[in-house]
Amino acid sequence: MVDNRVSVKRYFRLLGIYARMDLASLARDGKFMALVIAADLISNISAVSGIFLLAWKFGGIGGMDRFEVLFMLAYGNLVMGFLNMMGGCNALFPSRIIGRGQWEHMFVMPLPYGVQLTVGIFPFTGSSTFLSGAALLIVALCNLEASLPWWWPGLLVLLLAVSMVIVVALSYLLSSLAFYAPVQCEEISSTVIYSVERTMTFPLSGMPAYVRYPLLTLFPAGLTAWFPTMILLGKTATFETFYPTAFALFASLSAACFFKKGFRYYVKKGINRYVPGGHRS
Amino acid sequence: MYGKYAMTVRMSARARTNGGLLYLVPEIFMRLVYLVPLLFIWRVLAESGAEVEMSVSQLLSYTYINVVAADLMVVNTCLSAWDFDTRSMEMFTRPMSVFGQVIARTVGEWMPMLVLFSVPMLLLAPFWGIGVLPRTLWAVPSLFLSISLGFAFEFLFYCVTVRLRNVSWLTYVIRSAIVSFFSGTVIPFRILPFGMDRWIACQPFGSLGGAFLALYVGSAEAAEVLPLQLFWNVIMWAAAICWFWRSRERMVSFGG
Amino acid sequence: MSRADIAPEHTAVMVDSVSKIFTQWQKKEGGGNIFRQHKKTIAALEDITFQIEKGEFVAYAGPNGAGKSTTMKLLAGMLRPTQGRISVLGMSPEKDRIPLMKRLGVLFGNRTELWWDHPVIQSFEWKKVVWDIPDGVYRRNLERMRELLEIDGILNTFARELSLGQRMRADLAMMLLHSPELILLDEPTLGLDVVAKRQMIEFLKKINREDGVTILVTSHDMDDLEEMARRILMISKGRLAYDGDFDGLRLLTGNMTHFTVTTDGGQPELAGCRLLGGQHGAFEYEADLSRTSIRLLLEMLSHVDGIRDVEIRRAPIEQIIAQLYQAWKS
Repeated sequence: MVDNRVSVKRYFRLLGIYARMDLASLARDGKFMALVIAADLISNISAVSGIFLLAWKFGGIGGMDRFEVLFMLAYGNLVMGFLNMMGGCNALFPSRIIGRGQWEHMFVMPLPYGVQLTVGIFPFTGSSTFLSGAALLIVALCNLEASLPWWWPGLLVLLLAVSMVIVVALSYLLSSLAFYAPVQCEEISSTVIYSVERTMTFPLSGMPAYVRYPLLTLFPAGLTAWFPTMILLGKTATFETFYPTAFALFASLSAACFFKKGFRYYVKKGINRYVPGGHRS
Repeated sequence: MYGKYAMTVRMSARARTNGGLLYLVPEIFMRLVYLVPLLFIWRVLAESGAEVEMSVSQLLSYTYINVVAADLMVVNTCLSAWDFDTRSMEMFTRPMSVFGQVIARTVGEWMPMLVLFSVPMLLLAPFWGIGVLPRTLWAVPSLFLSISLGFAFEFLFYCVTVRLRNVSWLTYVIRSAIVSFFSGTVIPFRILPFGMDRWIACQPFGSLGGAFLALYVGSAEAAEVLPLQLFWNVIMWAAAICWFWRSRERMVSFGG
Repeated sequence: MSRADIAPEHTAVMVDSVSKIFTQWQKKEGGGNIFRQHKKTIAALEDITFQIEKGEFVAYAGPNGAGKSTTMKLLAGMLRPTQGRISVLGMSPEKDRIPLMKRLGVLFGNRTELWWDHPVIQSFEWKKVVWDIPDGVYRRNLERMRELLEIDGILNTFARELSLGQRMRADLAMMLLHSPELILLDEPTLGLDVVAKRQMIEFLKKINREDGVTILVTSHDMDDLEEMARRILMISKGRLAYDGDFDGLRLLTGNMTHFTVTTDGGQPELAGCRLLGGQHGAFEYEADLSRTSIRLLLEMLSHVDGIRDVEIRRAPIEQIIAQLYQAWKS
């Protein structure tokens, strides 16, 4: 019997191929490379400037001081930066793959879907947000003057992973709708992801409970930057530390369940629509 | 003469609603999710007692109008999607002006959200204590100038995309950056620290939605805003028209 | 210069000494400096001259990259020539794009003019307004397209849900709604099955014959082209390599004829004829009639022992063209 499992070694070889392709696309000409770097720089500076400048001007926002706000912005950049870097080939936007009928490409590849979705990485062209997040985090930590326990880096990594799981789960959960309505829901994942990206930079401290709680439950953008920041800066009760992890578990299980159900429907019904480059106009 | 453009607007609007209005709900929901916390940020800052160059009511109106009329504040056309499919060729095979087609399609794409989101939100604004009436009627020409400038930028960005051999995501990245900061639509220039408002409003992107919003809520003078918007319109449209025609060959020669 | 000076009344297309040069920035191979690029010029068309009269059905052929699509784009006013003059229906495609589009039909087989997220009929209604088609003309043409292209069943189907053949029929119908005087078709049979292809060919022949529509069509399927068109323009490496009828084209590689001889027994020996293959007593040969006359060939066949049947036919045009392409390559 043929063993269809993908070994760790092969998985890393696949990652390597995508990484090389990404480097080749960046280095194909110097002007292109310069433009990509400039665009990323402008984009990353702009993304955090607005809120940080507000925090600077007002000496903080809603009980968070300037560098706590910067820490939150950096955390958000790390989350989205890592996902953008690892989620090439629309892995973060599954509704696009479904809506355009491009799952058919995946059917004919001799690899499990999970592998296909996770090996399309952009470590060179897509790493700037992650790197800028890391740089901002260091600046924020240097200015926070907080004494951090030895296990703090571990908690940081865990919470980053939890936030990423929540973003991905949210995207896959809503993308399940694209199995039933491929045309109308083709861009639902991008609507969700871009909304999370825009909302995650809002410091929720000081906001009334009826604004804060929906953003920690119904549309959990608050769990992708603000709430983990509060945990990491020791501003929450101990039992609250586990909330993001529990939510991530619940969200990912729900997403897996709905996505599988939708996928079964897709395989049975098929899709009378194939758009190689996507159709967004 | 204009019937063909009106028909294109209609077709474009119907393309978004043909699948059913229900499918526009997620977008409306996401706009609300963005709007509500942003409004509360201003309230939180106001409660901090810090001195601000704009009143809370001005800040709330600013944010509210920006989100309610988001599509008009920073224009986003079908061009960014067209380069993927090399569909820009189509523009040249119709008895219509090339620029006119893109503008008509974009206006059509705005319609469903204007009717289903913007108008109801404007009507509901007084119930939430947000003033939505403009402080000056100069805001009307300013809105047209900012939309017009938005289209000029779109054509320019499209030329960049075409020159970069169809890397449209890069154009998207640049545009997003502009939306989030340099257009002044999210954070008003007026309240930025270090006296940044003086120079940041003068850069070309500053004449987009941010300029209109400043006039709308009365945080800027028409005499300062309108000439600057007019100036950037002339410069950017001249550049867009010139560069667009120079890039025409690259737009249509793809694939043979 | 007025439009009338450019081309005579009866001329649909006039291409006069047209060249089209593309420039590309390319990275030097093995170059150390990643910021340095060099300009490369590519001559897509070089000094092309031809004329198409109104009512003609002309095939435009050439190997991949020969400049067929570039020519189509030049005629449709999408591209401008680097050198030379073009007149289409007495107009300059460059200067009179909008009025020209009202009289011209353009269809690129790999693209669609239909609105993707609309039923087909809505795209037709949009076209009626944009092309300013009078009510009577629109109704008449729509009825005709319904009948000839059998599009009744797909008029209310979303364009995105059409099969390729259906989409092509819908696109063709849409292109003809404004009664164009000249139509430019770039690979209209691309990807179509046999039935859809037959339908398309018959339809094009009909509108050319009955309505006098001038047609310029490109395709890689030479048999289709031969069936549709009376004249063929062939380009190679951007230059016009042949302009004439299909019989003339055959003479370029010799007047090749294929024939099959069926005998009771063995394979006949025919001097000057090349055996292509044979089984079960049927043998296929190729002969160059410019060297071996038909009289001589028939005489040789009359002496074959046990001959039961002879079937003579012209060499497939595909083969002639393939020989030409091969010759041009070398």
